[in-house]
Amino acid sequence: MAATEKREIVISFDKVDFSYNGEPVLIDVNLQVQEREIIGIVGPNGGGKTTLLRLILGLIKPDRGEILVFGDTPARSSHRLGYVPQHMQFDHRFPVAALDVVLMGLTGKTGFGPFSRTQAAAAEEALDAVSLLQYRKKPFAELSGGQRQRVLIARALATSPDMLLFDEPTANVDTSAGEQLYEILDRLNQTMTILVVSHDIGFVNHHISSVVCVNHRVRVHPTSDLTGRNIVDLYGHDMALIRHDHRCSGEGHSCTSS
Amino acid sequence: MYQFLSDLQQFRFLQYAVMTGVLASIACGIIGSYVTVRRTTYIAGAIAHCTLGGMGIAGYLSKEQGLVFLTPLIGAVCAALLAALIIAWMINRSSARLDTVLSAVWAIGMAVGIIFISKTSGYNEDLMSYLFGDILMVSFNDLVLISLLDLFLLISVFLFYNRLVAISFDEEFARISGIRVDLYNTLFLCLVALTVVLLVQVVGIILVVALLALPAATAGQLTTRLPAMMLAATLLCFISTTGGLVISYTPNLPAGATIIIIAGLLYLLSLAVSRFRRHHAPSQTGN
Repeated sequence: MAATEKREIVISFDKVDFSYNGEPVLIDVNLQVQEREIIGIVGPNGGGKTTLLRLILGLIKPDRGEILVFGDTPARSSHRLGYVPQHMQFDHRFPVAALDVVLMGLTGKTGFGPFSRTQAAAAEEALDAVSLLQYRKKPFAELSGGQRQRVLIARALATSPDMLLFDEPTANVDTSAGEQLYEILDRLNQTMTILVVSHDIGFVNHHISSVVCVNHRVRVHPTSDLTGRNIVDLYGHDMALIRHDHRCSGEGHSCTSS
Repeated sequence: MYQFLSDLQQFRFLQYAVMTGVLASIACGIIGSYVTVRRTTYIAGAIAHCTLGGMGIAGYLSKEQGLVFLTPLIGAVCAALLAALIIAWMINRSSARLDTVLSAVWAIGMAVGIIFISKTSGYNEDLMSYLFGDILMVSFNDLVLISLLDLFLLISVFLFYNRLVAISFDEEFARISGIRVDLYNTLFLCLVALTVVLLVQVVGIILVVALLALPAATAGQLTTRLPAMMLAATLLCFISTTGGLVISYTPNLPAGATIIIIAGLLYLLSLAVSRFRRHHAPSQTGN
């Protein structure tokens, strides 16, 4: 990427606190994400990764501080965001075909009554972008984990988003399907900003431009457009909080060593 | 069977009963499928039992206070909609546990109904027909109201089908993509409430949940997409209600109970069929 290119700030957190039932989850978060970055969000379970994602999506509001997404409140910008949740959370007996799931991406933006031909064509195009067009009539329940994850990506793409947010895209997906997902992500990154919550260290190292480590506090390198790969040191604060978490200390090492 | 057919040509009440079954089947198939895929039959149960309160109050006011226009059906519609709005409000706005709210709506509605019915003459007959249904007692005015409810359901589902599917499948994504989830959840519960009222006319309060759930569950075994499931559930519900009427007629069995037995048998049959299919087509799951 060109270091001199002037890029727009698409997400900014300014001194954001969030607590859940009186328990602080995120403390004094300051974060800026530029357009067409691909950001990995890592950290221990319960550290606040998902909360960070939900704040950006406008599903919850911070106790203190300001969040701007595309220069506006998260709730008002949410139509520009494409969210790809984990495929495991769905009821596998829900009677829908792959194309029906993709069409759900268009539902909020359309009028009442059945979908038009144009909308069906847009959904098929989105499904084609993840190489699943031939499965459009296949029941969602009968697809493999990797295929389901790609259908959910197509659903997010159908909304023509400017930013994609992934929650653990490679969880419960086999390795080759995971590779395929990364290729899709790299391709999509040509045109949009991508945020990925992931435990997958290999992915974090190879595909992203910066890492955000979330463990109640958030550490991110401030000048991510200069080097292309900035790594954040999680250990500056709250050593005691992360000491017992093997997964996070592993990520912490890979962060500092590369 | 022959007796039923010859009487069907002769007696109004029997014609009304068959038509009520047909109209209820449409609502049952469509809304029952939504309820089944959303796993919210318990909500339908709470709304169903709450209708006793409305029917009890309406019966009391019309018989004891002379407000004759207040039929039990009108009372049931009001009580069901009120219950739906309370439940929707609790889901959207309150942190109370859902099953506690449902139990409260369920029990308080019944308690109100029992008190008013006990103060109305003809206590036992009314209570029995509310609880177990009396499809043979449906009047012409009831039939008109039932038709209007059905029409309202069909128009709503035609307009809002996509949104209702989207909030059922993934509420969070629906919210992000700009669908007013709370509004459509409330609408959905109102549609459930109206369907419940229709089905109470056919099988009564206690058996409503079975009629809502069984044809849809059977259809779910046989289909893979929601529109097909709705169509199949409507057909299965029609078979159950009409079959139940025919079979119960000559031996004078309770129609509601017979209808549920048929719906239950069809469900068991579909389980057996889908198990048989799975055993004999193992390659289907492999690709």
